[in-house]
Amino acid sequence: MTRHWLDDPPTVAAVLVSHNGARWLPKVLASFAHMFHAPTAWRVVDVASTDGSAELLRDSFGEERLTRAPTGTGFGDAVKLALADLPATDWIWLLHDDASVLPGTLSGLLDTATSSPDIAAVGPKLREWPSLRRLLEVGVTITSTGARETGLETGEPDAGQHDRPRDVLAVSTAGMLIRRDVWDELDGFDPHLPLYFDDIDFGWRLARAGYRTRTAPTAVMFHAESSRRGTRTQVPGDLPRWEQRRAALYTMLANTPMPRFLWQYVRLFIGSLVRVAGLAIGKDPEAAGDELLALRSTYLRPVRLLRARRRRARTSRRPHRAIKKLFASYWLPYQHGFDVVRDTVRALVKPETVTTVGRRSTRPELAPDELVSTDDQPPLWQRRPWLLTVLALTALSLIAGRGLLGGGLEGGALLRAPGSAAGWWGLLFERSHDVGLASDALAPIFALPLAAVSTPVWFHPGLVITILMVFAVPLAALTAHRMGRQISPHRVPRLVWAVSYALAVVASGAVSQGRLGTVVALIILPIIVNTGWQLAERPGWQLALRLGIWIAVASAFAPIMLLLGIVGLAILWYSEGRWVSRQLVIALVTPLLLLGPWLFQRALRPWRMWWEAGLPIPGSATIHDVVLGRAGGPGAAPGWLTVGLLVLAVLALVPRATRSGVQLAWLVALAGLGVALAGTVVTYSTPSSPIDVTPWVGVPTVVWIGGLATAVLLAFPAAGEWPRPALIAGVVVALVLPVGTGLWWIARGMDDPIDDRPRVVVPAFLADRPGDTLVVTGSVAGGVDYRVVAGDGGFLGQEAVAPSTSASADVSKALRGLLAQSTGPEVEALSRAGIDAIYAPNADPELTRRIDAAPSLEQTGSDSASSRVWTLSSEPQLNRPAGPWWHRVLMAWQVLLWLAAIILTIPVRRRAAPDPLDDDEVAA
Amino acid sequence: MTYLRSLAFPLVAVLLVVLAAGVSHDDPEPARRPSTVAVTQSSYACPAGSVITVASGQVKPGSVGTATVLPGSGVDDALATGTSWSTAVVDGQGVIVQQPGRGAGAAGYFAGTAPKSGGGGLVVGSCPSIVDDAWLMGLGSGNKHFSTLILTNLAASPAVVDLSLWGPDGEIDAVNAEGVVIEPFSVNRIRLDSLAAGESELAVHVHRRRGSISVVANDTSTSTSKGTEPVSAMGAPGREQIVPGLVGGTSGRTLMVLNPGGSAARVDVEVIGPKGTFTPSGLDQIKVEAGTVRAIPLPESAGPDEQALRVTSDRPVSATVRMAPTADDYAYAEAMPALTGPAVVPVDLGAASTGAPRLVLTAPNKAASVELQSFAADMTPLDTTSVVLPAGTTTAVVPKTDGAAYVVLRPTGEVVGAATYAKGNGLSSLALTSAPISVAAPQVRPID
Repeated sequence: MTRHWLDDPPTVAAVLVSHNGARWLPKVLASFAHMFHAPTAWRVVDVASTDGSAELLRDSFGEERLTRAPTGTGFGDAVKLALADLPATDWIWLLHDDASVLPGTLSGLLDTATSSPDIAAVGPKLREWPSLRRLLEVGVTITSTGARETGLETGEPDAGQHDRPRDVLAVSTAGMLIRRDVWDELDGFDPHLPLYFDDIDFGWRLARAGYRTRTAPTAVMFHAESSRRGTRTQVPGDLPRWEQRRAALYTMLANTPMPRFLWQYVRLFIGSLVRVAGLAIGKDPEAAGDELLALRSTYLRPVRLLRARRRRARTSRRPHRAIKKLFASYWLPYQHGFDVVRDTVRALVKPETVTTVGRRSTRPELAPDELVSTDDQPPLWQRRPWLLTVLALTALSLIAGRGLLGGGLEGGALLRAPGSAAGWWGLLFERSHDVGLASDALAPIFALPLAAVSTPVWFHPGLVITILMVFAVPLAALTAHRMGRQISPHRVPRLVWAVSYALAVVASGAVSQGRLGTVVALIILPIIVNTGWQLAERPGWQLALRLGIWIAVASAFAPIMLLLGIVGLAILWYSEGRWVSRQLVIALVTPLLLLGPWLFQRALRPWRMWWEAGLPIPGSATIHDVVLGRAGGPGAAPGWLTVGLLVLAVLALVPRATRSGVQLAWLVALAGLGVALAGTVVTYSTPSSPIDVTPWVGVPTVVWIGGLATAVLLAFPAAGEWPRPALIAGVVVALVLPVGTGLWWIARGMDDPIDDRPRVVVPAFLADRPGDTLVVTGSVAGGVDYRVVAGDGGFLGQEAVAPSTSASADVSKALRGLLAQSTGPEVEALSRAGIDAIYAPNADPELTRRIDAAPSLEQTGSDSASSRVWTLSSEPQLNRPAGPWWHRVLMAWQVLLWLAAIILTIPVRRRAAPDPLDDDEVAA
Repeated sequence: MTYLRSLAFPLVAVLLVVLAAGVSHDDPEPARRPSTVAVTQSSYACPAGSVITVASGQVKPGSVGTATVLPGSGVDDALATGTSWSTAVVDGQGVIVQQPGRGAGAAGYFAGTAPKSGGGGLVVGSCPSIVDDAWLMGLGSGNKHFSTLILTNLAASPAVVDLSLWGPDGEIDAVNAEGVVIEPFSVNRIRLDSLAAGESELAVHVHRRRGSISVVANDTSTSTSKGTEPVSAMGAPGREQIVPGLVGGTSGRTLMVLNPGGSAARVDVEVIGPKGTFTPSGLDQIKVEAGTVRAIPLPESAGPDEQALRVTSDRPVSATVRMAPTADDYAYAEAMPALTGPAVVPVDLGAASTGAPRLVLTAPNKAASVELQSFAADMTPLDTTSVVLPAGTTTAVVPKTDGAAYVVLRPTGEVVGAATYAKGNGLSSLALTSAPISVAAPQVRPID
């Protein structure tokens, strides 16, 4: 490269500012010794170091070049002090005490600096200390939320990809080369930015003044970033941690031009408050406190801000839009958010525990040359069998869910989702429910998780239901496999086990019959067992709380899970003894508190705990069904597929080595079997109907099958001692369940009775009427059934809101009277209950004749004998009695309890002592 | 030992299954049969006119109801007081009475003397309430024997009925007999000769397709046997029917049997007389062809006493008896079910009052008894008598009705009967029906 500037070398004054940098200074000072082109003059400033830095500098540069600055002197002020003692040079080169240079650094900077007259600042390529290849910065900018943005990927290695010089908003002060005249013109760094964001602020002002800041990638420096990482020894007088955020807010507000400033002023204020809330919920109180202090410091000093803006206005020569391209795109903060979600999902599906890198790591875990090349690795299915299995199950779910992908699942026990998430929130907090007859009952607690989860997809809450139902198998497999990692080190068997469990969920018939409660409970079940297992291994109140919350979530959807959870806790107590007693009490009390009124509505009522989320459609499981893992009804897989598992589970009890674990699994299975069989001999009734309903026993039945499958998984290591033919036979038998069920699953699909077509509960023209519709079925001789439908029928959750007994009794009496003697007062009574139409689908002729004879009823619709509609000639009374005010308070209390419980389980983040970078690390 | 302990797990599973199998029971859901509830409001429609007196009363006091005069919506305040026996001559085609009262048993009657031009004769009938199916017999559409169906719509929406007609030669394919519309709150009078002319004997089935209607017929004869008589609707045809209330005298009694079915019916007739039940000669194994009405004169062997007939058949049939003891008036004795509760017998019928009616009461099977209690118009009880009805016999009594407006008949046991009114040569028979006190209501329950 021809260095034209060498003909008339520009003068450069180097300024090194040090503050307690003795840890890095020896290496830094040594690096100055071998520069191809040295600065014309040197000045070092020590800001009240207490670690011997000043002595190191004095030894190296001599007392005459050393300036001693008092405590609290900012970087910019320190530079100004140094410049006061330096002759006027063309350029100023700023250096940190924790950044070392290469021999060609300065010459590289000058190459770029002299390439164009409007370049006023140049920065080197910063790599990680001490001499690693990982990139830290090649120019820097700021996002609209006030975050420092390098544009680099996390831990991105330097492979020359950023070696083209380019214009940037700013460069780091570590190694920054600045034209002296521009420095003087802009009056250096802002004294209100003593440490952080001084570079970005300076670059911003410089750009507005019409100059350019450019990166010089051929100039490389290694930076320890000790201030940002907090690895520098702190002494009294140092800047507090919140200064970083304050500096960000100050920089944004001081430089953002009008009128955008007004928007930013409000946006950053609100955004900061949201961040405070987020950090508080995320249990990072220190960061939340910092954010709050930064906000206070910035917004309570409007005069300082005003002056700063005036100063900037004086040097500004070009409009903001001319430098717009130097800023990060507006969506970058959201992209970072997406990255976090992506990392979380990746951690979930990766077979082994993965520590995601997240933000830039301070630990050099992988040097670039340690990165494993992916070229000569085994194929993906060997490296990531679980990932592929999940992908395959997801794809197969789409095939098996072919009748369910149109959205708006309905049928069987499943009701449609509300029009928007507001439906579920409304159900929770409204004092009177529009569910046909007047009801002031408390909403079902499962509406809370549904409302919370569907809020991000506000107008399509059905999506949540569709995902849960259609992807029940991969979801259950995911949770099961996570549990499998706890209980078995054998990769393939636990994979087969997880898939078997997931298919057992769908084989029970739960999805086809629209048993959302069962599906959710069974997806959560492995998490509950997993948490219980972890609790046994390392007892702690947070784990116990988490266990309680998961039991509560599952019980909200399928109250029978509370009983099974209590049995499970008893088994845990039995196996782990008294040393987990206290934790088990927490795990037991938590769901009781979180379920609140739901306990009294469902879980504690004798047998009503069998009623899950959705309509109380009776189950039809026989004892035979239960033993073979089926819960009866449509959509259940052939029972014989399970026979092999039963045989293997009994055989699993034989090996002595694994027996204790296998017995525990059997104990859980027996609990499931016992509860499921009990479900076949009892009946329950709902508060709004006297009909005896045979319970649906899907949950305990799958617990039984899951327990047996776990027993087989735990006994697997012992099977190695079996003779080879027996082993092969065992493997074949074990595969019958997942393979057979899988084939059945694909062939049958998951629809019928549920599907993605809306149900016609009442004819459309009735749904539009202001009043409710009385739907009458049955016959005069055999008994008449009715229900009162509001609009076009209720959504999921409303079925659990029982109409008040008196309203129900009034309608029953009026309808009975109407069918007995067809007189006007009965019709008026119906009208008073808010009913303005009677609909008799599949009507018994005698029944319709009796309704027909009543006065004040007008036949509407067709004369079809199979479906008759009458409308009431009087106006329906639509005033609904509101429930007591404390219902809302109670529900808000429940929501707070859930929130508090969840927040409490999040581990408190404390700032860990910084991980010092080891100088002895192997250089790249 | 631990091996055995392991074995305990599958054994417990088997034990649980056995236990569940032992406890398990498959209870079918119990049938939910209709049960009885008290009537809270009675509605009935009476034919009206300038020569017809309408009377309303009840077994137990109710509350004030409404009497709507048709056509239009005029109200007659004299009727439907709820607490008294009321009579009124209503100037209109009909009157609809809605009488509230829990278990009050409100009932209405109409009476009058037909003009000579229309055959003359005494008319006493009960005001019908809403019916689903009405079977009417003894009607005609000839020159000298003709009938008019009186259909009243008791509700605010149009009612639709289908009519079926049978004559001696079979079912009649009548024109415009299907989908007959009765406008809201109106009376539709249909002369049968407008549907099928020239039939001397007719039976009609009115089937309500929609709406709420009541049915009664007016039958007039101007032939050798003159007279006018209201024909009350009977229930559905059956294999055993009791036709009570045959007046004394052997002449002029004609049994009419309708076989609406598709095959011929073999009908046996027994006489339930004052002394017992017997089969009169000449009335055994009467063949009634499919879909025909057959008129059979009752032979003298039936005896001259007041009596009832038991008509049994191998096919469902309907039966009624036309009674014309004189040539000036006639009456009908209709097949009726046994009384299930108290029945109201009108005495005070305004201008058409005849004095005490003669009650012809039959205990068709087992011995029974009735209590007859007469009441003043203000519902003050006056006189009570009891009548014992030996098994399988018919007894005629005349209750004491001094100052009485009506008589309440309370049966114990199975009783059927009719009240016979006579005024001069005028004769009318009113089949006794239970006052609407209670009604069978289906079991109703809410479902989720």
